[in-house]
Amino acid sequence: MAKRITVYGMLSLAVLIVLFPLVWMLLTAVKSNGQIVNPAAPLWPVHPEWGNFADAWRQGPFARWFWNTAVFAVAATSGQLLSGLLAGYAFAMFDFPGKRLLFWLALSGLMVPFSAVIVPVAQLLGDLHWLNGYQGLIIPNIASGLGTFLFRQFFLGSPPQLGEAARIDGASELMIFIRVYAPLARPAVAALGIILFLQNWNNFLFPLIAVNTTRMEVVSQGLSVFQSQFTSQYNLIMAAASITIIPLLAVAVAAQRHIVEGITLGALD
Amino acid sequence: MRARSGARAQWALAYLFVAPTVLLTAVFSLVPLGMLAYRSLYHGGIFATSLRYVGLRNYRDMLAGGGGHALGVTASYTVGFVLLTMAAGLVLGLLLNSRTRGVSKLRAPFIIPLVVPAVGTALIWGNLFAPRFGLVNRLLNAMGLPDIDFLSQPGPALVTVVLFGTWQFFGQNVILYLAALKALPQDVLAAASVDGAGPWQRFAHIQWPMLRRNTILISVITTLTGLQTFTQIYVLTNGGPQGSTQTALFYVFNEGFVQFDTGRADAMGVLIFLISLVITIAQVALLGRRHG
Amino acid sequence: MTRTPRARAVVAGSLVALLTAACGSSPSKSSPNSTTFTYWTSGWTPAQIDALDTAFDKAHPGLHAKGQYIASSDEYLPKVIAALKTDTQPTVLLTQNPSDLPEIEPSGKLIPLDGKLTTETNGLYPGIKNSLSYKGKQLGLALGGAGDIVLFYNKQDFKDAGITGPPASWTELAADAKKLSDPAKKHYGFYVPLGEAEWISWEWEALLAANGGTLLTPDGTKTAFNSPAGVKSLATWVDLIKNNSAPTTSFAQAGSFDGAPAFASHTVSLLIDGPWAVPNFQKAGIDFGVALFPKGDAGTATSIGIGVGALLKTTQAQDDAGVQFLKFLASPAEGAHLTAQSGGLPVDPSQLKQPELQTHIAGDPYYKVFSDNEASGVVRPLTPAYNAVSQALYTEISKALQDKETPADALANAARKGDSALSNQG
Repeated sequence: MAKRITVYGMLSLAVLIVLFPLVWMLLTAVKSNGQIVNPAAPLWPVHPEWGNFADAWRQGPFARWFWNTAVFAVAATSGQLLSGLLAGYAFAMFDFPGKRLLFWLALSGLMVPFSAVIVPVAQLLGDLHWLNGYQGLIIPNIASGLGTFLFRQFFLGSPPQLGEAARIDGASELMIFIRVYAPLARPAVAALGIILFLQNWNNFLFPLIAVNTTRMEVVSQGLSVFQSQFTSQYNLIMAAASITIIPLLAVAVAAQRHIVEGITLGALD
Repeated sequence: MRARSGARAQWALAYLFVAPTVLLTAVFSLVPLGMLAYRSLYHGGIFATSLRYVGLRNYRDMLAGGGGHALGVTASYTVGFVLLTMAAGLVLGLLLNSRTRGVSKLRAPFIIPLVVPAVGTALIWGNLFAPRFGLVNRLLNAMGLPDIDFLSQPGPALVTVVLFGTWQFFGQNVILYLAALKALPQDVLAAASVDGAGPWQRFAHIQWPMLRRNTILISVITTLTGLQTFTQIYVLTNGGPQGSTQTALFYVFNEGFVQFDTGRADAMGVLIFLISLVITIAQVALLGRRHG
Repeated sequence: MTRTPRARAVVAGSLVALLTAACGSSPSKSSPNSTTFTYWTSGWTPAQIDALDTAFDKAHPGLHAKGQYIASSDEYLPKVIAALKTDTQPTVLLTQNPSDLPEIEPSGKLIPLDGKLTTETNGLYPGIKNSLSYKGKQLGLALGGAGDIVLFYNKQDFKDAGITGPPASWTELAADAKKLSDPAKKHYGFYVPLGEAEWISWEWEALLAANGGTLLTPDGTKTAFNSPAGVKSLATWVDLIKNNSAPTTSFAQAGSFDGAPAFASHTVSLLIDGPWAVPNFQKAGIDFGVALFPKGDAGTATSIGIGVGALLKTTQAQDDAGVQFLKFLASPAEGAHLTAQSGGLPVDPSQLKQPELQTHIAGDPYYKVFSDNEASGVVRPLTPAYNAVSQALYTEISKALQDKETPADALANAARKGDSALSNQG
């Protein structure tokens, strides 16, 4: 019992720390600007200005931004999972000339500082005529060093006997991957998928250069635009920020099941 | 190794499998990096048509002109960030992994900070840590303590930025550690419990040694995340005060697009890549050795 | 069992194909007798952009303006550079940072405006007109809706302290601030901007001008602020903090360093700020007035911020339309409209006579002070090194305000860094 109380106590404290800034954001969104900067004002909204949410919503094409972000994040994440699964499997299970070099090459994508290569990347997208389209947003983001790395670790830790058995039964290498090992990776796909999805959702710099029109902007960019247009209306900025996270709260709650299942079903090591 | 006797058909399959990742990385990461490395050896503005070869002069200028300082800040930031996010990830992973009923329901909150755009969260943090009217200072005042000007003094500003980065990213390490803990063989743990080992002994003698490889793995990912921190700093402190939160990546942006010294920006960009590469190679070498 | 990965592959593959197909056709439709051109802005809301596009199209049959809002002014430049590198630049660029223009000029795609908009340029206030040229070329045209900074004072505080009116000079301001301060209650007379941001340099440049100093030498090749006037200006701020007449903590919020929260929360009684702060103080219920920027040795002065429009190389027809668009923006009626819409100041005195702006002025009791101060204002010099000079300046000012350096040392250090930036890029 004492143990249970300790565990719950510590977890509750952690949850409080994690969620507090977001709760504070919601509270701030319905305060008046005068109250926000007044050191003597109560901490909760005195006269909640619920209209701030509607005002913020009217000021920007949020629905469009959400749609673009969702398309970008879903497509990029699917691509990353698939390419990472294949490459991770090959690096873990096969021996082939140049393997070491190619592995480091795949990993190097994680080490190139994106803000340093903004201009060359933009030039490349321009040469491909990929600016302002979904393909320019998505395809360059499909290779994932993180996905490759984690899937390689996963397959290195998976039991080799399964493959041996299938091989004795005469299965081809492709079939062994499809029938035996890929299904095993499902929990890793779930856990990694969540991480990659969140990273893609928040990718700010890449869409900034790949996309020039409001029609194509993503949420994080839209919010930045919002911030620069309404610098003095702090409550509206907070209302806009709140609007941007609500759908993600839904995703987080939905993903909760996958974090639980994905992780209990298997290993990431 | 799991080498199957070298059938060429297997090579073909292997190349096919790695092709998308390798080719896309080469085109969209390494080609731009190559362009950057080339330009870092030349003098000329971003639009210059005739470039003048200057060897390593941009690198010398960069290191002398604030770049060395920025690397120091990056080192402090990254060390703090890695230690805190990994410690928090491990502790919460252990708590969430405990067999106490209902705790798995508490997993979702920890991934929420990962989903909020940094632009938005930076504004909240700025407000929470604001002088006088910020909540943290109001609490300090209520406890009879003096105000702390978190964001305009070098020390507190760096600490605030590290805490902010930790808050935003540690959920990733919770997920990774939790996955690793779930994968530990349950029979060994059960045997230890039967032998009367308490939670601490179980952790110190069984779980922690078995988590070593995972820890290195997670440290690779976390270090790379820390080295690439930009938006949090850009919005919260803009590199100040007195450059105390000017990390290497912020330096790249500031030199390239504010100060217009592209030579220095390019040199720093290349250096960040090289440093990341060396650190990762070292970490992965450690991983390989453990793996035996 | 085998379905998952394969299905995923198919879904991902077809999604990409679908999107590629959907985006493959570019939306540019141009019939022979109509020209569509785009312009980028970081200053107007989407609704304002739509209204402007409609107004322009109506006045110019056959031409179609398409406005695009681009990120904040800080992220503007990376985008512009990327666009110029990839030949996807807009025809007209409207920017709040004129110092970006000399930086993009070497691209060869910035069309100088000399001889194209002579009437419009000659109508501008002289200080503004002079700030548009770099190395003998006119790189942009100032847009209606400039901003300057004046003194805000809390009327109630002044009444309570028995002071009859706002201070007219920095000497009077120092005396009043002392009287108004009560450090024990954390109330201060004046807010000296703390932190590190362009705002701090900009506000200080007004004080420097009031004391007769200038930021750069007339030819723009060297810094000039490390002068007796400069040292005196910085000492004025340092002394206000040392005398407990100004807070020692920054009131920066959401990237704004003007210290508006200090005034709105009634922590200070005096503040230097711009017209955009007025509605916030009204909402916060502060009883305040505005007065001319306090006099220094050379009288009053102020810093003026302007937005500029620049013409970029696209097609000939688009560039011709772009010139028409800039002419339209600078016309007295449209200029007055932009000015009234922004709540800012005209860049051309003739805009003041326009009915729309007159109506706006009649409804704004504070406008006259801002407008009067504008005549003595200075504009940021047009040089690609401006950001570097400003950064050197605010970094060192900040050190002096925290008593880590004397004002003289701070300015000497800033001048050294600034000069090196100017010689590298000037």
